[in-house]
Amino acid sequence: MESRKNILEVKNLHTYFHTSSGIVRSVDGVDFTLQEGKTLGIVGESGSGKSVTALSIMGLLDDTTGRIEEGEILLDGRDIVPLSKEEKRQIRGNKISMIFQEPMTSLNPVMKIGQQLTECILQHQKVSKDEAWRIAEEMLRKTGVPRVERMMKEYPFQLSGGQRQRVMIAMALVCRPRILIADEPTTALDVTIQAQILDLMNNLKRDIGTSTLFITHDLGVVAEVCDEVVVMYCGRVVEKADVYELFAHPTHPYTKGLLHSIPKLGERVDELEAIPGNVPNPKYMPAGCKFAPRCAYATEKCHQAEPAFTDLGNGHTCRCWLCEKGGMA
Amino acid sequence: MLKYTLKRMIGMIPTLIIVVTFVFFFIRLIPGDPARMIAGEQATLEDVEAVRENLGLNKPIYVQYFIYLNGLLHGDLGTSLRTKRPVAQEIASRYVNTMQLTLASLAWATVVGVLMGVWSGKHRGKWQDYTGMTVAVSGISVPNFWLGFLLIMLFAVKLRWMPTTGAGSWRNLVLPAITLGTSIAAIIARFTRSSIIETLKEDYVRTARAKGLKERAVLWGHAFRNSMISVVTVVGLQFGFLLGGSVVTEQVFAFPGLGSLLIESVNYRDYPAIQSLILIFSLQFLVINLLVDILYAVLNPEIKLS
Repeated sequence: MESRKNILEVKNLHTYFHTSSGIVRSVDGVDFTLQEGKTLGIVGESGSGKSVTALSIMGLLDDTTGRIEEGEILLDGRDIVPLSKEEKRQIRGNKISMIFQEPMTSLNPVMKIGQQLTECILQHQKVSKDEAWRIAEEMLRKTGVPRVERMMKEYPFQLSGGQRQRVMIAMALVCRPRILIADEPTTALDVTIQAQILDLMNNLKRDIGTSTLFITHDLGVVAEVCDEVVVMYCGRVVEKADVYELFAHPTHPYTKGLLHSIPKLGERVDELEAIPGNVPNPKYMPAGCKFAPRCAYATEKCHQAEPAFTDLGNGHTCRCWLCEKGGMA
Repeated sequence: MLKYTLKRMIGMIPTLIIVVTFVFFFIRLIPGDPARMIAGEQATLEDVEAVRENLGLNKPIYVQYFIYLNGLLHGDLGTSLRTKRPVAQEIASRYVNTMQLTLASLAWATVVGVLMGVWSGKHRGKWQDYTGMTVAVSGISVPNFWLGFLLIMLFAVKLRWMPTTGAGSWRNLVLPAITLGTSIAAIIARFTRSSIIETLKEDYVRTARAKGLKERAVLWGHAFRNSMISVVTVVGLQFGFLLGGSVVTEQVFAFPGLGSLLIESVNYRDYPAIQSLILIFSLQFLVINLLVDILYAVLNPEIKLS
C-alpha cells in the first residue's frame, strides 16, 4: 500500500459541553487520521458525537458551551487546538472548510449568491473584487449549475435545494481548502439529487486535491464515497477500517447492527431490522462498554469495564471485548 | 412595487370611510353641548339656539354627516367651533411641530436603541448584556412627565442650556425629544437584542463563521440585516404613536403639538377639529403601515421579488 501524508490527525480528542445540568461528554477520546487526497467517513447515530468532532476541528465551538478539554488536532503536523481565535479564523474557510446538512437554511436569505461566494475569497486571498467574482463564477460552473452568470445575481430563495447545496459546495471549495468537512451534505436532499451531489463532490475533490471528512449516518453513502471509515458511538470510535474491509468483515456488534438495518434490494421483509434500544443519555453513561446495554452479545465483563482497541490487522481496529478474544460469531 | 403601493393606497379608502363614519357619530355621543359652550354660561336659551343654528348643529344628524362628507371630498375639514378658523389651518401649524418632535425623538431613539440592542445581543449573558438591558428597563420604567421635569430642572433651570418650554427653534426640541425618545429607545433596544440573538443562531450565521469571516463581518454583514426585519415593525408602530402627539410630554413642555390640540378640542366639544385629528391619526397609521411593508421588501428580497 502506498504511504500517503497524514493531512489531519485527531488524537485523543475530548470535547465537553458545560450545561446548567452538568457536563456532557460529546466527544470522549476520539482518534483518527485523514490521509492526503482520501475520504474518511465518520458514521454514527444522532448524538454519537460526529458533528461535534467536526465543529471541534473547525474551531466553531466558541459560541456554544462546548470546549476542547484534551487532545490534539494536527493539521499538516501542526496542532491547531491551542491557536488563538484569530489564527483559527484564518484557517476556517481557507485550509479547512465545511458543508452543512441544511442547504435551505445555510445560505443567507438576503444576500446574493455572488456576494456569498466572493466574501470568502476576499477574506482569505489578496485579490480584487472582479478577480474574486471570476474565481467564484468558475467554481460555481464546476458544480454543474446552469446559467451561472444569472445565478450569481440571484437570492437563495430563487434556487432549488439541490442548487443551493451546489452553491454550498462551491462556497466551501472556492478557496481550494486542504480539507473539506461534509456534515451530512445529502441528508436533506431527495435521492436522485443525492447521487448527483455525491458524484460532484467526488469529482471536485479529485480536481482540487482536497481531502474529505465525510460525516453521515448513511452507510450507503459511505460505500459510495469513502476510502476509510470510522464508526462512532457515544463520543467514542468503536471501529475503524478500510471501507471494503468494514463492509466485508464488520466486527463491532454496533457496526453489524448498522449494516443489518439497511434494507436489501430485492429482499422481501415484513419488518426492518433495528438495533434495539436508544443511545444512552449522555448524563447517565453506562460504566463499561457504552454499547453493552443494547448489545445482543454482551457479557458480564462488557458491563463492568470498557474495552480498548484490538488490532485486527490491515488497519482494522475494533473496540470490543469479544473481538479481543477473537471469539465472536 | 409601484403597482403594489397603488393597490395598497386604494385599499385604504374603505378603512378611512369607516373611521370617518364611526368618529362622526361617536363624538356626538360625548355629553356636552358645543353651542352652550360657545354661547357661554350666562347665555339665554334663545342665544344658544341662535349659535346652534349658526353652526348648523340644529340640522338632523345625517344631514350634518353628509355636509361633512361633502366637505371632506372637496378637501375641506370644516371650521373650528372654538377658534372659528379653518380646521386645516389650525392643525397645520401644530402638525409641523409634532412632526419635527417625532422625527427628532425617533431618529435618536432608533440609532441608540438598535446599537444598544446589537451590543447586548452580541454579548448575551455577559456584563455588556446586563448593563444594556438594565439601562433599557430603566428607560421603559421612567414615567415621561417625571423625566421631563427632571430634564427641565437640570438643563433649563440649573444649567440654563435649553429653554424650558415652547416651540420654534431646534433648542425647543431637545428636551422633549429626549423625554419622548427614552422609552422608545429602550423598547427598540429590547427588540433588537432578542432579534439579534435569534438571528445569530441561524444556520447561515454558522456558514458565515465557517467561511472564516471576521466576527464583525458576521454580525453586521449577515446577522444585522436579517434581524432588522422584525425591528422595523416596532419602529413603525412607535412612529405612528408619536405622530399622534404626546399629551403628557406636550403638557410638561407647553409644546404646541397635536396631542394638546386634541385635548383642547375635546374639552371644547370642537367636533370638526376632533373628527379631523382622528382622521389624520388613522391616515398616518395606514401610511406608516404601508411604509413598513415597503421596507420589509427592501430588507427581504423574497417579498420584493414574489
